[in-house]
Amino acid sequence: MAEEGAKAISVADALAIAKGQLEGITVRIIGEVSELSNKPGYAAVYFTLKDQKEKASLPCLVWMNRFKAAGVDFKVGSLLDVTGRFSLYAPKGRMNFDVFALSLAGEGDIRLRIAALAKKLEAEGLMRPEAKRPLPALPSRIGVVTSPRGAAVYDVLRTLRRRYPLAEILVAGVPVEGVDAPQHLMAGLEAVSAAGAEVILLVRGGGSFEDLMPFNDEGFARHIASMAVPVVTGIGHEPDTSIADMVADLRASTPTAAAEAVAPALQDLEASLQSAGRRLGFAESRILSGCQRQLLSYRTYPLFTDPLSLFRDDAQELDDLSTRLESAVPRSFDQAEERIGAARMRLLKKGPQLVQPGLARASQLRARLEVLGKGAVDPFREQAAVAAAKLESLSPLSVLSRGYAAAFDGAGRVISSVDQLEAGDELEVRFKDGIADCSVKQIKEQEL
Amino acid sequence: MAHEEMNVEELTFKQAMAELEAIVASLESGDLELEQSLEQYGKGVALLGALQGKLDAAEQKVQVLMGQLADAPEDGVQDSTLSKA
Repeated sequence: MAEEGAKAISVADALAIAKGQLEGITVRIIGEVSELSNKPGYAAVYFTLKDQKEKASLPCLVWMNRFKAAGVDFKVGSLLDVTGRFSLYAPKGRMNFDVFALSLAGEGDIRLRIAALAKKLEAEGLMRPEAKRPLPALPSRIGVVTSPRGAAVYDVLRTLRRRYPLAEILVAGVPVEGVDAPQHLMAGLEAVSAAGAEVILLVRGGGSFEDLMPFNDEGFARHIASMAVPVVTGIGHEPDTSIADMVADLRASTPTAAAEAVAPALQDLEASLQSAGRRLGFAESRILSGCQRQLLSYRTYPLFTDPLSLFRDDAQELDDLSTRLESAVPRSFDQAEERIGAARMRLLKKGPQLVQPGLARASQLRARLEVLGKGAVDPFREQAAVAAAKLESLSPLSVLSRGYAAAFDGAGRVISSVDQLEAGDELEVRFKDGIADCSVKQIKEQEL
Repeated sequence: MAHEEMNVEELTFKQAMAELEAIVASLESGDLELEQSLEQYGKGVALLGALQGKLDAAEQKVQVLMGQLADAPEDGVQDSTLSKA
């Protein structure tokens, strides 16, 4: 119903007018999310808000940077509290609500606080993968902390009985809902830990978001993280994730899954026992057959089949040596005797030949010596005769024969002077025919 | 090993299992003297029997430290988790 005389305009211009009118309006809306499209790579998250009672729905978009900044995790059915303005997408002629800010309505702010707590605990390192302890392989004692009423505790007991009846189950039945629940849960953890549990199952059945609130308690979360033994959670059903789940050493989605996680299946145990038995038997029979083989191979050794063969070579060598000894010893004696005989013969022949020249030369020398000796003696003999005649004439005896006498002292010396004498001396006076012993009576010096 | 005089009945399932594993491994290594291997084999067989006996005779023991458990549901009752899933 266009105005009379109004000028027709283009679609683009018309939408521009509408856009200008719409975009000035900022409103805050609470509505339920009915459709949601949050795809990686898209610039915005698209969803539809609707009223449950009146038939009204509004397509919304929130730009990715704002969506991330809000940090609100919502899904279809969530009640959202959004603030934004209307906008118009000209190519499709479609109106959108451009969301500036959003939060969960109602319980939403509780979720925010939980998310903030999760971030804080994560920043402190309570959720680090390396802080998670490995579960014991074959626990003897398993602790269960849960409500004494309800299905969860029986789910756990049934599962453990079916899979792993070997373990003793330590149950701490505590209130899991209400303001005091975190205190009771912590007391339960301590009780089963003190009783020797090697791993603890912290479980409860599914419940409303509010019902699970004790598992989002900060003190309880810190207590779980500080436990000395591993804690496995099985709280509610997917996709509810509590703070307790995040700080636990292992998070299972249900109580039954938690029980399965800590207990090996009985048939697995049976199988590993059988396998161990097979390996045991196989290994031992391998050792035995190895020994047997070795024994058999020893039996074929010549040592056992023909022991004498060990000495065969030695015996042969011995024989050989004795033969050589027998033939070698007599021959050497004979040879020595022969050589000695021959040497004697040669010596006998050679001996006279060696002496002969010496003998000949000796007799020659002797002959010459005899000739020379005679010649040498005769001249001396003539000289001796002449000398003897001279001596005869010089001899004092010849003087005495002419009447002279000679005086000698007791020592036989000639006394030629009276100076040699003193009165009383004894002396001999020799004459030509004898000697007179005289004594000196007196000495008278007188020249003749 | 310090378990020379062990009594297999006194070991926990885990200890006995570990002991059995160690025996099997030592036999498989092939380093043992024949006498040792026979002794280990005998010990292994005893452990195996004890472990199997423990498995066969195992009855779940439940000790309630806190609270009072409600009456157990009927044996035929399905796993609540499974029925809800």
